[in-house]
Amino acid sequence: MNSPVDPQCFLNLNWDGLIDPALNSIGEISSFHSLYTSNLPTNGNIPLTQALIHTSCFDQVCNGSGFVERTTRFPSFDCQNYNGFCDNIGLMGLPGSESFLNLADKGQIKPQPTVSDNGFGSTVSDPSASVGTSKKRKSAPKGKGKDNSKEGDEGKNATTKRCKATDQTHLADNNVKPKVECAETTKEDSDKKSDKKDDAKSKAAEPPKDYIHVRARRGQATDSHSLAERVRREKISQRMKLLQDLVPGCNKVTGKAVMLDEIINYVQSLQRQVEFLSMKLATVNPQVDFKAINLLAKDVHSDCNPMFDSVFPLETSGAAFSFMNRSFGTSNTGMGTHMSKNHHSLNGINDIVQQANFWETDLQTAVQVETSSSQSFHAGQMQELHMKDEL
Amino acid sequence: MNRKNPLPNSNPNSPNSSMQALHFLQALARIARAAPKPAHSARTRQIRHAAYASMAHSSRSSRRTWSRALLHRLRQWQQQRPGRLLTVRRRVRIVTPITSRPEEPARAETLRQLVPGGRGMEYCNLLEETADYVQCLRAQVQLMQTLLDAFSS
Repeated sequence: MNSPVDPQCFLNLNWDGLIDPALNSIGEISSFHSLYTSNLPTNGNIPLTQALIHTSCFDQVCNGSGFVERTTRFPSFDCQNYNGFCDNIGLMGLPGSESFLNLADKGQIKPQPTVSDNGFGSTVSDPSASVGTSKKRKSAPKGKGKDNSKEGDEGKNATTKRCKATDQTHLADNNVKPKVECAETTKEDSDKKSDKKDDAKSKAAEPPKDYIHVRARRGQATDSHSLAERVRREKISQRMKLLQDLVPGCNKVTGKAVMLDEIINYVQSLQRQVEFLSMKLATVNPQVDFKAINLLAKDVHSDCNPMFDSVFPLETSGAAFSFMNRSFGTSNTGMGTHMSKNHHSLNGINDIVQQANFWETDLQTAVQVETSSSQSFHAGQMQELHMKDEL
Repeated sequence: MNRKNPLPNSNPNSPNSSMQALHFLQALARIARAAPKPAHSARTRQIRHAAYASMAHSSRSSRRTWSRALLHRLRQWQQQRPGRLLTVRRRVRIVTPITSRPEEPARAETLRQLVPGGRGMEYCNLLEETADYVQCLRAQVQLMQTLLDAFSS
């Protein structure tokens, strides 16, 4: 038959791009190939066998992933096109085709049937074993167009089988069958792919649930949405409990709305306090020697990182010592966790204080005021020292 | 001009409040060392910025969203200072804020405005950030109170 498209070149066009997945399934290819070659009709020419091999490979190739995209790229694979093509060829005019068609229409073709007319009958059912839709095969090939338009799997499989039937009839003419095989396999593979996709989707739905590790409690909805909602609610309640512990006076309050109000009030009050204290510090700061601040900073830092001792000069003063004593003694809540460390540092800077005695004369008046306060401080009165800056 | 250069956090294992105190004290020292004594309001602002900066640089909160947002805000404030023109730049938000979620209570919007960086967060994360922010704020307030007491004695 004169086909408008040479099957071989047609195949080669498309097969080169698809050869890679075929390499994975060489075993199946060989089995297919045996099926094909064992039942070669007398008309089978070398090009036919080659085409068959190609198609068998194609079948495996079609099973590979990504084939669907490729099929979309090659519209000629579509069975619909083939139907028009078949009609053009004059499918029905072939001898023996009708008989074969009838044979195909009669119920399902078993994977290894004894088809007298054509050994390819076995091959017909093989790829289509996944779905049994032979019942729909009774319509004429011209009706393939209708079936191809169906979106259901059955429709697709029916058309694929019919394509195979007609394809086998064409095998005698050895031109169109490869295309049909390809067409039918495309349909099947798209079906298989859709099935696989469904499975993949269902499987994909599970990992998110496993990831969150939520178990639906008894009597509660197991919907993924409600599960996520429940997780979220639990997280929020957890955080609210945390906040309740942080914000003083929230223990008696119950309910999220009132709690939120309390939290907001507390945050606002803290921010206002920072502002107020910074204003006060700005007033006090110019009168305080920054050397004392340096010492304080150094001492604080010596708890954390002894390497930083060299950063700040050792301008010590008894005042600084008193600063530290006082500050670390009174700020229990703020630095409570490392009070012990402060004690260590206090012991550690005793020698520093001794050095400071040498430098006392260099200190400014504000520091000397603190020094005097520190002496009384050593007496053990930590709380009542409010020496005013008279100097 | 007084600039608060944050110290690199070389010791990640240090207690949070001591790091905070350290940063604050260093900033205060820098402020005190500034040769031209600025006006009272300017010093107030400087100290306030120093407080927030030391909060943001404490080891516990350096990974938090609010600390980053706070630092960003601080930089904006600092940049505005030299010009002395407090241009209130309205940040054009391209993304509509997630503030009108039905699951959130009505007061969540206020909380978002209070906590730095709260506008872009979900409610769940907002609560977590609020907890951390409250902790740091409290530590800062106590630190400043202590310093004030020490300095004024």
